[in-house]
Amino acid sequence: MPTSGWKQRLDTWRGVSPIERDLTPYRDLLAAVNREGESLAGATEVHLKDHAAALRTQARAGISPDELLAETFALVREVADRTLGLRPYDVQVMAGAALHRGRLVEMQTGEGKTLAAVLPACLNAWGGAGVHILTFNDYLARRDAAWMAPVYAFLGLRVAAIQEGMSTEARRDAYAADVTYATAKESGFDFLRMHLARSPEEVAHRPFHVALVDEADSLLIDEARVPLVIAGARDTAAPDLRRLASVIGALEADVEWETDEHARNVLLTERGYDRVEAALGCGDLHADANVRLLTEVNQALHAHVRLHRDVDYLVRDDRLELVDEFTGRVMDDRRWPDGLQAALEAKEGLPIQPGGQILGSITLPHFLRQYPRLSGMTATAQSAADEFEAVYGLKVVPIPPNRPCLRDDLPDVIFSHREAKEAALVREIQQAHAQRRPVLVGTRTVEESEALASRLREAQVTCRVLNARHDAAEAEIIAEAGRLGAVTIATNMAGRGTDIRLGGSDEAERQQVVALGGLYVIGTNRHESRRIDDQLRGRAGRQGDPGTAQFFVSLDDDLMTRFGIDALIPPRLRPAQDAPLDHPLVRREVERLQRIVEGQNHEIRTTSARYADLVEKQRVTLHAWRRAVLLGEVSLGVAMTHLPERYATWCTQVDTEVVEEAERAITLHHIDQAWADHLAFVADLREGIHLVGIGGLDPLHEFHKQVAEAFSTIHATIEADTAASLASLDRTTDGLNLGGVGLGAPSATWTYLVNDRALSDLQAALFGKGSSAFSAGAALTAWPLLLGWGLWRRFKKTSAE
Amino acid sequence: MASVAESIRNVWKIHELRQRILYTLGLLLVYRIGSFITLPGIDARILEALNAGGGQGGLFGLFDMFVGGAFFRAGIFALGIMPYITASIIIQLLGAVVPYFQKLQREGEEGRRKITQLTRYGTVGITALQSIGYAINLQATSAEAIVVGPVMFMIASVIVLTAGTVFVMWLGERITEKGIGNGISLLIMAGIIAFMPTSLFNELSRDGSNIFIFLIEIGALFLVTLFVVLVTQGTRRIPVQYAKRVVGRKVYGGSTQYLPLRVNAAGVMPIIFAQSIMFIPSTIASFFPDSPFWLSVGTATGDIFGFWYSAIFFVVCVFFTYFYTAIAVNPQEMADTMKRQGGFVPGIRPGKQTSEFIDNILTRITLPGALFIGFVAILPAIVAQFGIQYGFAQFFGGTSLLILVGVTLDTLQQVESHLLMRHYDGFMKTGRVRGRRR
Repeated sequence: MPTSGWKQRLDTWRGVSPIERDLTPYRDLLAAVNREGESLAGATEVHLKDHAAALRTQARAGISPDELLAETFALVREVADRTLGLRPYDVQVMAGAALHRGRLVEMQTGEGKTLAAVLPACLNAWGGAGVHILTFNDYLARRDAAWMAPVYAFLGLRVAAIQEGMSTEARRDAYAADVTYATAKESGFDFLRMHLARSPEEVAHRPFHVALVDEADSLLIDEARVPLVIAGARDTAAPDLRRLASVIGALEADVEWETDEHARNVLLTERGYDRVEAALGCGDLHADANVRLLTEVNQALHAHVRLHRDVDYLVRDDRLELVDEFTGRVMDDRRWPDGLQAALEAKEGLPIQPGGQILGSITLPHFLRQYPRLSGMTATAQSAADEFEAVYGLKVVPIPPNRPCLRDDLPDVIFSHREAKEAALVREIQQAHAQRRPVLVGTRTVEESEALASRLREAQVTCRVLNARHDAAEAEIIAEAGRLGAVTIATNMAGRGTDIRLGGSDEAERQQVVALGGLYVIGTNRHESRRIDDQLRGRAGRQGDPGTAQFFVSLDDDLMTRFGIDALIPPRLRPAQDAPLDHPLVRREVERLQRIVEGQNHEIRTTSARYADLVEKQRVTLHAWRRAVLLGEVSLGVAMTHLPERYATWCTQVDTEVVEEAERAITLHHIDQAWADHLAFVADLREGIHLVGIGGLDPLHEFHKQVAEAFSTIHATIEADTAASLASLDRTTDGLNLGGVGLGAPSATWTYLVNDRALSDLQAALFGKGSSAFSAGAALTAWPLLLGWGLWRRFKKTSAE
Repeated sequence: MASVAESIRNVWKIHELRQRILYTLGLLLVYRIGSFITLPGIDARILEALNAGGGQGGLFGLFDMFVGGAFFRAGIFALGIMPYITASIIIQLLGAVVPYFQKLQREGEEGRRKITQLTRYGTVGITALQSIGYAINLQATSAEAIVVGPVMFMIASVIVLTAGTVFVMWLGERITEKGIGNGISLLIMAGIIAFMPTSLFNELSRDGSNIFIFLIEIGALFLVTLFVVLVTQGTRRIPVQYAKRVVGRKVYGGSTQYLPLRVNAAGVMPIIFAQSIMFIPSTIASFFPDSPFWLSVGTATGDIFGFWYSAIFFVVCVFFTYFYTAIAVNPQEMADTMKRQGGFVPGIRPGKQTSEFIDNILTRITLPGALFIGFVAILPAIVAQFGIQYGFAQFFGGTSLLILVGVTLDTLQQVESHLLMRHYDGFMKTGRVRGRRR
């Protein structure tokens, strides 16, 4: 962030800067750790183990971790040195201390965040209330847990990793460990599942204690706008959408359908409606009777136009596999919501899965704030420091690298069109390959990575592809990526958390690669934020290695066109040439565009958060009650009050405990059902609430009002439904038969990929909106201007048609 | 009434809300105190004596109302928050025309910060210019009250007025951020309300008034306010459906969504426009003191409570309401927004058909809206016919009442939002949850 020096100093002086630049407290702690460490250097193994046991006893006796910090860090340092052969550097110790203090630590790539995290993890685990290290992806959870296991084992701490597809029992066991490595998403989904549990045994999580979030900027910021959603199958027959898919597939682009400016939405044109109505023979699609059909038409169109095979999803084994936008990996049990999945399956001619219902949802920020102590680490934090502080109250602490970074970041090469960029990319890679310098190319999609790979193969360059399709070979491809002559084409699977060693494991080869200038990282696109670009750059130049990073951009890249580069650099001003556009103005506008994207995403996040806050409060309220019901902490008495006669009869026939048990089970079912209905209502309301803004009302306020009103009756609804179910219960010889009331927990659960769409019309227009006094004042002081503007605006809008 | 007391108690119970309200009231108090401090070099007593005789109508009168009386009093806040509003409008307009500002507006947080910054600088510039004009005007009209030399007075006025406005702007921003409601609006509202005690007192003590008549007048004011609240809130709801969600067998999206079209979409703007226009004929007339035609025009349009003025005023208000609604509310834009988001009015195709449908309804509901605006605009003149004093008659309609109602509704809405967010803290205590072991 381009802040001038004096302003920064002023901010620091006033204590308002979200970045903590003064590292003195951490240096002091480091000195204390070093003092403690001296006595440990020659200690025997037995002595160290005794020391660990003593620290644990002290912690369990209630001594605060702050007081044990120096001793613990010194001990862990010594143990890591002996078991792993890795002695945490001074900067890692300082990072560990900052993590313990609840900061967001910025450490350069390759500086050993994994090891740094072990220090505070052990410190906070002594007390026995689980520490969660939330990693970026499943692979890293597995790898880090296994890698650091000897340290923990030596210290008598149990470590475990959560993986996709683990059973509830295995998860319970893993969360019971002293230190648990998991992705934030897995932990979040377990949290959601916990609130669908029908018996206390199904709850995997312990109460939350400490979370250390790796790649924190990605999780806390980029993914913050994608809520975690858990859904369950409802027994509905899958609709047949094949015919619809073929009708939609035959429509003509730009004539029968069109996309809006940022290509977020796709719409049928008048002609499109005519054609679809004729083909389906359904009459007016907008008639009341056709709402369902129209919905399916919209979904089919969206699936046809907006979602691309090998970009958004893969087709493997007759199944759709979704590619995660951030990690570039295939996500198990992930689907699209709202019938889009079915529409897509129809488009691809796959068997159509039955649809489902959203059962629970939470945003990542809300979930992570459940941890009483939260801290994080990443290589790219400073440019988002304001947001970390505002949303999570985390101050950023930049830790200097152990050895200065020698990476050479070259300015972008910008082309006017994609063909020129691609040709230049191939030439550039060929050249580097001819010198046998290792190259890592970061592409945006699976499709792009494979297209580039095949062009390179035509040009006689052997290369390997790392994308969601080849995820099995990930570890091996990464291990080879730094070797002489290696060319690796990757999606953002290699964007974060991957550690590419120069020369692989061979020291002689490493020297050769260093002599060639280290790893050469090429980005084929700018990403949605500078932080993501920097992450890709960070693959080169780890731990003081040399390296080079450069981005190749063309003005018709997806990101550029989607966010309106045409408005910044009008097409008529762009020469159509194959040579790069080497002009400072072009570079400036490309950078500005990226800032616009960042700004808009920030906007979406803050808006979404404001909408999600109230619903989160409601969730907390309802779930606190649900938990009390689940654990039998409340007496429901539904039967007693609503069905007094039956209750009296039952009490003579079976034990009251049995009646209460039945009541509890039925109530849980109806709580889940009512909440699912509420979520559906909320989602629907959210979709259209911006309309009230047009009428001069505050959408957020209207949303709150309606959501609060809907929630106010939820308790009564649950009770009434429970009473109705109870009334239909049969008594069998050994108790009450719950089978007849259809309580079945959802037959399968999966997660939804939900991406909040932007509300494009949020700018508070002075006209129609804005406060009355303000506009009155404006009218008084500037009425000729206002009149003129109004006329001009209206005239422009009409003439643009 | 019991429920009102209950609501107030609820508001008071919430610590944060209480803090915010007290904070707002505190800053408004500071603002009010400041508006009584006169500029250096002015003898306030002489100025007051000078102003006592003169009529205070016209645009300056309106301006004076917006700044809470500080304009005629030559207070340090004489320009009030107005230059800030002008600056925001100009920046907004530039955003529509100049590419640089257009780009800034799209850059989100960072761009917005820059725009805020530019607006502040703009405010300083505009205030400096306006304060020069203000000082010249004061020297021309109230030279007797100025007790220092002209150059000294000019320099001091420009500095103090600019500082005053920047301070008021800061107060407004503080209220918006840490208080409740929109700071700018509340400052203006506080200024308008400040006239109320005096005018109530004057009304009560005027010749021919007694407590009984006064109570009737207060009752009438209450009814008028009720009527204005009703129309201000009045909307026509057009149902909108979203065909996007298929959940199980149920398609969500019934009648919950609607597009509200306000009866009074133009708000208070047409009256202000009309007042500004109405000011022109009498000004021109004053240039031709000898022409009998202009003289009659001058008398007809000069007496703002006179019949001819009111009749023309009414018509101009109606005209401006239509005019303003036509430029401010754009059915085509509404239809496009709806279409982009996948919404539609049941039975009507998105796009052209929808925009025609909205346009139709809009035309129909604008008529009552326009008549309402016209009526409210001349209501002070009507009640003045019953002998009510000028100051008090102001509160029966026109800009004051509309602004008071508008700002109050906005602020109450914010209070309600705060209440909604805290509604659930008591959920567990509703008595439904009892300890298991009794």
